[in-house]
Amino acid sequence: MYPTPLASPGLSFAVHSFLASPHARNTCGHNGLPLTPNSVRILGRFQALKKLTHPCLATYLDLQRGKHERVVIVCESYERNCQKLLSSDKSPTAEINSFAHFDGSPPDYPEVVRRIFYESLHALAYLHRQNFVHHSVSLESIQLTDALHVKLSNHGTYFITENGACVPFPIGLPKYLPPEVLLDPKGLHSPKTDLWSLGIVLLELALRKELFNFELEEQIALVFECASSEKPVMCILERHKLVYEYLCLSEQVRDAIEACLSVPLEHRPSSEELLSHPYCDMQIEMLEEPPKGLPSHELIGADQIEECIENSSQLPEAWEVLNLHELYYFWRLTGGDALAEISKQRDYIRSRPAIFGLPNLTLIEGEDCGAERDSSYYYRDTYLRLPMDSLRERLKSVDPDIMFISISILFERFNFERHRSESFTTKTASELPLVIRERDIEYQIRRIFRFRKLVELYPLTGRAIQLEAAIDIPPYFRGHVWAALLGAQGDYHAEFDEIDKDTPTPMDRQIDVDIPRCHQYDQLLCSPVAHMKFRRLLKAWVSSHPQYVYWQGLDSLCAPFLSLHFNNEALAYQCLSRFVDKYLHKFFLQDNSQVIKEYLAVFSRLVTYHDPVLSLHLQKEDFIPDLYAIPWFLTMYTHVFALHKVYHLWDALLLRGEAFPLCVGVAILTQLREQLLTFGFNECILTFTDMPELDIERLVKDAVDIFDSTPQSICFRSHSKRPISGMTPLSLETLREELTPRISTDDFFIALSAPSSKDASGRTTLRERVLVLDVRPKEEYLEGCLRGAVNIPKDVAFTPEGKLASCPEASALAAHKGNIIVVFGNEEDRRKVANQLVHLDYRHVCILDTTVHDIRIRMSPPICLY
Amino acid sequence: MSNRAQGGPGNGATAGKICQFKLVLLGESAVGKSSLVLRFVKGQFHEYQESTIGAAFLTQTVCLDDTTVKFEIWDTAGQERYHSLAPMYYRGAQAAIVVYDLTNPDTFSRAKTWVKELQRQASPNIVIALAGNKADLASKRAVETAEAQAYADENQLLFMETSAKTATNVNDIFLAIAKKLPKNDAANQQGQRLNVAQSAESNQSGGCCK
Repeated sequence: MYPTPLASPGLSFAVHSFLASPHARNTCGHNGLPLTPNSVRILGRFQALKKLTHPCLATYLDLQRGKHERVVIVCESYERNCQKLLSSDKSPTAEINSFAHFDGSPPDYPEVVRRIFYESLHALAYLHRQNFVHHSVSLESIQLTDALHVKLSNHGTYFITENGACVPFPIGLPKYLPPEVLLDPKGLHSPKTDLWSLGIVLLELALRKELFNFELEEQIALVFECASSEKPVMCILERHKLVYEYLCLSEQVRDAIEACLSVPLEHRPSSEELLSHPYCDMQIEMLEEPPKGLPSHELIGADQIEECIENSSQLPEAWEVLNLHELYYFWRLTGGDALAEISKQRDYIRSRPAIFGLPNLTLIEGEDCGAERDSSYYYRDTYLRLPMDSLRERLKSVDPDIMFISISILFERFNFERHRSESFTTKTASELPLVIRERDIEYQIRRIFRFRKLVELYPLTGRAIQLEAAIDIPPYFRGHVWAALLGAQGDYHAEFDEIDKDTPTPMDRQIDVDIPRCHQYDQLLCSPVAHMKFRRLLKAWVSSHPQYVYWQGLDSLCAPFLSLHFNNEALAYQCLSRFVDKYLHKFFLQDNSQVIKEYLAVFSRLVTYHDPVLSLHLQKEDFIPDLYAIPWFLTMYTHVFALHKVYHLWDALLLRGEAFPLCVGVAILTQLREQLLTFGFNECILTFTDMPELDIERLVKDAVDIFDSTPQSICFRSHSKRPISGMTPLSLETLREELTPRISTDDFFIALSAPSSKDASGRTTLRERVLVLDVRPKEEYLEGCLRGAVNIPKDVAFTPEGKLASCPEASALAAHKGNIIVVFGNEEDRRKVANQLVHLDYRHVCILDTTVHDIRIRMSPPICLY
Repeated sequence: MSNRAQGGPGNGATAGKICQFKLVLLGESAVGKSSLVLRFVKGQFHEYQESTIGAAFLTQTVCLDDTTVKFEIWDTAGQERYHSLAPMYYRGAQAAIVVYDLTNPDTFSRAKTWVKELQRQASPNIVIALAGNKADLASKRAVETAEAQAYADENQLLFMETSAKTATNVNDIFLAIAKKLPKNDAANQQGQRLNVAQSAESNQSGGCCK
């Protein structure tokens, strides 16, 4: 059994750090924009390393940027490595025996070497299959776990630095590099580079001696000597006077070494070929096991569920289930900060006073001459181990019950009510502000345990995810949860692969100029890798939606999904596509004017419904939504808020229907209400040119309240994806003339029936009291009316000044102010009365969307007369 | 709806020597319209200025001899698709800056189309300026100064090559416009804000809401 990460005392997180090459000042790229800092380029490429999962590869966890292009990489690290194995004073047997967790009886030294070689080669083959070249294989890079298994490290440096182009130092130690690489140090090298390096490592391990212990020039000279030799290995051995020792090795190992140390590339085997070498004929149980847990970037498909349930039926050890990425996440929540740790180590970052770095001459183009090269630009492969104690302590003190809670979901997955009540244990915590909850380790551990199970079992757990997400969504799983809420499933990889993302289209220029302007404050999204992914996603969307076109703003919509699914474009695409389909139906039509105008008109009416005073003020100032709200709705607020705010807003949005964005708009206006009421047109529009700082948590809460207190049909749009049936589609003129929204008969009767009721989606909402205002002439009213209706005929309703005429019915109406008032009558009359009520500051006025004829069947003679 | 469309407060007349003008920026996307405005209004420059969706509104006041000129600036979206929004902004504008990117000849052609449209559809006395932006990228120039100048002369446009990044000619082009705008002819300065209701109805179909 593969040991649990924290049970292994040798494991910790470690950082290593280097400086990326700085750009000369004021240089810019072909598009006139400043060159992307190399550390940002590196950050973008780094993300792909997180996807690598091989039991013999050390996991890359995080990359942070420090000052002056410093790059700090956090990865899994072990205390021991092959170099320490060789330099140890102990006998080989004693050394091997000191690996406490060795499974089975410790074999002899040559067998250990064979295993190390095999595991390293296995890991290299995995890398090569995915087009990574390690380029830094060395004794030191082969770390050893407590069970004496290999953890190959440093395998990402060559890749993230764009084959060394982004850094001022060469990648890899010269003594391990093959001649062809030393001849052409910068450039893209073959994966077979690693085979040469592994050959040297094997030679050193087999002879139990570190080679090339001399000056750098001599090392390089020796490698070149090899290049011209018939048998390179002999060259090296003769130089070290180790020919006899070498000949004492087994024939198999010698053959493997010699295969690796072939100078011509065509004679050197690939990693795959070498795996079938007789020396590699062995079985390592660990390598056959499937990787544990859910890969951090993937949302599982239905076919893997069976297996998952099977695996989950046995109770795992408490911390075994956490993968390293989760552990690292918790490490950060306990206050871990890799950048701070590294700056504490003064001798790790030896900084020289800047004055010594001044150049003698600076050219007008910005190039410096004569500055002495700072030695901190050289590569140092020292790893600094990060303190793990507080994490261990913290995890120990966590109530083990939360494990069982999460397992219990399995058995209760069809009993959501019970499951829901259970989550009241976390109720107190969930009343804390969201930003605090997101940083509280105890709370996040609970949430992550709960969600990881739910996410693993998706789509079976779709409903349970919705219920849990309504409490909050742990940031660690936000990407997965969003995808689940949007209903992503099926083989989205195949779907995405089939889409043409490359053929040039007339839209490309627009996409290319928009991407470098989209959420570029975000370190990750401004990297070239992100730009490339952006481009592919946008082009994929455009080419697979021929009925739609690219409108500026689609780029902003793409940003949150790209940022959350950076390593899974297919899933990001799937989410984008489903999101647009659900919330922005028809918005990206070539001619979307009708759709958007209707949306904005419905928005205006919703504002009037909730806040007639503000609405009338804005209308009086000609401050119409067309001038400020298009970017709100077209981009679902991604163009007006920074990503961290969008996350919280969309957490709420994705749980709700199409009408929610309208409610967010109302909430924004109400949050700024006091100012807006005193503002004229110019101040109003200036307010929204740069969206003011808004309290996003309050905004979300207000929007949810507004959404819950608004009957669905109030936000009816004829262009929505599934228009509410039975509602009359209204022309734009009518939408503008009629200030108040309309309510469907269904919603009306629901609202009428009980103060608290469930609507179609099962949502329980507290409804206000409803008053029906019948504006037909008295005679018609007496013939039959809706239950409880108050009759104020339109002709006598208002005084010439526009005030309510005084009558008992009017007093009843006035007493009802603030609650829902449903105006019922003939087309013209009801509009006039409803509009006038708005001018009298009545909130929640709506018009019953039906004709007298259609609803006659539900009418009865009035019961009481005022 | 637009009960203030005609002769709003503070417009026109020389009384108090305060004039208010509506100015609109037009041009292909990513030529630097928003950057020019931002430089003029706030003295700032962002390399990664985000794209404008719909339009943005800013105001800035400049002093010209004894007159205070207040610009109400509408910075429009550049993408061709948002074209149908444009009339809402340029109708009733007293001045327009048509911007192109001097490193990209296509944006210059687009600027010419805008000029034509303004000459045809905007108010007849509109002052039009042509701005060749990104002058700091001289090494990547693709539109010659002489060519643009000739075009501007032919069409009686103000013309300057500007750089929002280095602030070259940014204030100057706004000042030049301010100088050219009539300050005493009240009839020319309706100070019309936005005539949305009317423009929405009278416009040809297509595109985002008009």
